[in-house]
Amino acid sequence: MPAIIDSAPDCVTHVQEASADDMADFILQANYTDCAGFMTFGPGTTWGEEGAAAATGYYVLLGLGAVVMVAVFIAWVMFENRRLVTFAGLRRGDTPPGPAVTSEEM
Amino acid sequence: MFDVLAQVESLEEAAGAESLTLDSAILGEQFYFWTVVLMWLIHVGFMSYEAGVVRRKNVMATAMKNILTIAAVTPTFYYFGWWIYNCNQPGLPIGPNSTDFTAAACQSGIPWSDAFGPNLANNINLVFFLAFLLFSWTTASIMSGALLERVRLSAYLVLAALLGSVVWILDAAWGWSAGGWMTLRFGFHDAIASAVVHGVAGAFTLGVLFNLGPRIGKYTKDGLARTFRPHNLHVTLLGLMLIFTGFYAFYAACLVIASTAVPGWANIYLSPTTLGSIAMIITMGFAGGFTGAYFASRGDPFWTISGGLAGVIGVSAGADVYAPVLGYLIAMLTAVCAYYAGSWIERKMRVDDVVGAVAVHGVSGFLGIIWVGVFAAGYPTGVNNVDSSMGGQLIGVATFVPLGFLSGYVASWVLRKLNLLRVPASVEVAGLDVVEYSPDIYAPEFGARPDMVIEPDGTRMPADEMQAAELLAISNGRRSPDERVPV
Repeated sequence: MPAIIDSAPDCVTHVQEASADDMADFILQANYTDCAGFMTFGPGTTWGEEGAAAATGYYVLLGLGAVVMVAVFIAWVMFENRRLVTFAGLRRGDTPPGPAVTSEEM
Repeated sequence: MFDVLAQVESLEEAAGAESLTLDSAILGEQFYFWTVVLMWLIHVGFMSYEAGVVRRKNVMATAMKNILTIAAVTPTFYYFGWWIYNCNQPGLPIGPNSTDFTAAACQSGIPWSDAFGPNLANNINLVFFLAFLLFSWTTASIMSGALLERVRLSAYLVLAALLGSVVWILDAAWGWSAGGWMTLRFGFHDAIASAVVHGVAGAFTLGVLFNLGPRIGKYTKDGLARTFRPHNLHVTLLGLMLIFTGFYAFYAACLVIASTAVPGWANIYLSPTTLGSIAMIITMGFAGGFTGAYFASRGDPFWTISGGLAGVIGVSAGADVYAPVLGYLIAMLTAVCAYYAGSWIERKMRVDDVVGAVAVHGVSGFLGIIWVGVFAAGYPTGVNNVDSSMGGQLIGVATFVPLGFLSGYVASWVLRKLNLLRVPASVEVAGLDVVEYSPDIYAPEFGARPDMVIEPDGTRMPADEMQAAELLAISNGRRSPDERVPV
């Protein structure tokens, strides 16, 4: 069955029709004897022309993770600020959500 | 015939050496893995400790802060913390001592390195990363307790990421690594991170506290300190005992085990030591710390157990070489100093540090590296074999105090100017749990007596009533919620 994204590095060999007897010879591990790192999209991955698609995909993945991380921090700040401001506004009798309230204004 | 036998023999030897290397790597991998597992107890402990020390209305907010420390520090440490450690040991990224970014150690620190995934040629990078990540959580959690009951969760998380993923790991690169410039040039010696973790975290926390201000009602209009009682001291003490348990793993993870490269155990500077000696000094440190703080505080339970922590931090820098009795005495002295420093910070500086983190971690951490200059000078440290000395240790103080304090002060100043550092006064008085979570998170069938505050004259009154009166004064413009001096 064709893989949607074949991200296995080219150092991984594919031994055909391994049998139970092969286990004794560590034939399954032999698939990886030429490998060091073999994470998805990592260096040596074969997806795309000489792995270029995998390398690009990996950097996109890293960038996406970084953007999500920064967005999460911003969301934490905004989410909490809205709740605090709403509560402080209710205490003062304002209609929520009010403008940013500083501790000095309380 | 003999040639063939010799060839077979040499092949067997080579195969054996290769297996030994792999076995050594896997044993090292297992060792660090289990230290990481046990170091989680430190964070279980921090959560219990802080949840017990606050008033009932802030318990859930406190626990959530500890849990989300992990959420904030982990990705940031992955993205740049490990790079900072591995790529900035000679100095800053630019300048005369800038890093060789092609060096192998630096390459394994960048987030797109293949050492961050399954890698049969590198069993150590990820478990070492995880051990340092747990150190980072610890460093951030040190600050956490000081800011309780009035800091915004989001502000704390931003500060935690800065402290845990940038500030402490930068000082670790400089002074807590085999290639750090402080060790290579000055023989700076802080084997188990007295100042590298605790001192810097304490200095950073002090910088934040200057901008955050005290809890409403912490100080009377005359500037005298009130005491907010912990709502559950038992849970606090249990939390500290869990932290202590995790500390053994913390100490073990600070050692290097790589028997194919370095024979036996080594400290972070690759100088020899033993696991047993480290464990011995921790244990003597606890004993001395508990004892010193017990007598200094006249038997106060909170300070007695905090003194154990202060004692251990005080002996950490030289734990790889100290004699047990020296460790015991140094820990006792450090705990006494931490207790009086804590009182001075609270009463004279009027800085409201809820758990005494600046004294217990900051003061004890910097005393720890000074004690090495006093009692353990002359030990060749690091790959350049520069002797440990008072001069080298003072270089550490002069580098780490401003690094920690200024970064904490500036970051919190910016947050304050953006009105994002502290919760509004009405939220603080109502309780963070009511606003941040739900007013009915506590089972009503368990009735609770009101939290009390101890006035400077020793009388007690309900804390909520006192804070409501203070809030009224703030609303009328007679007082500022973050003032530290009497108006």
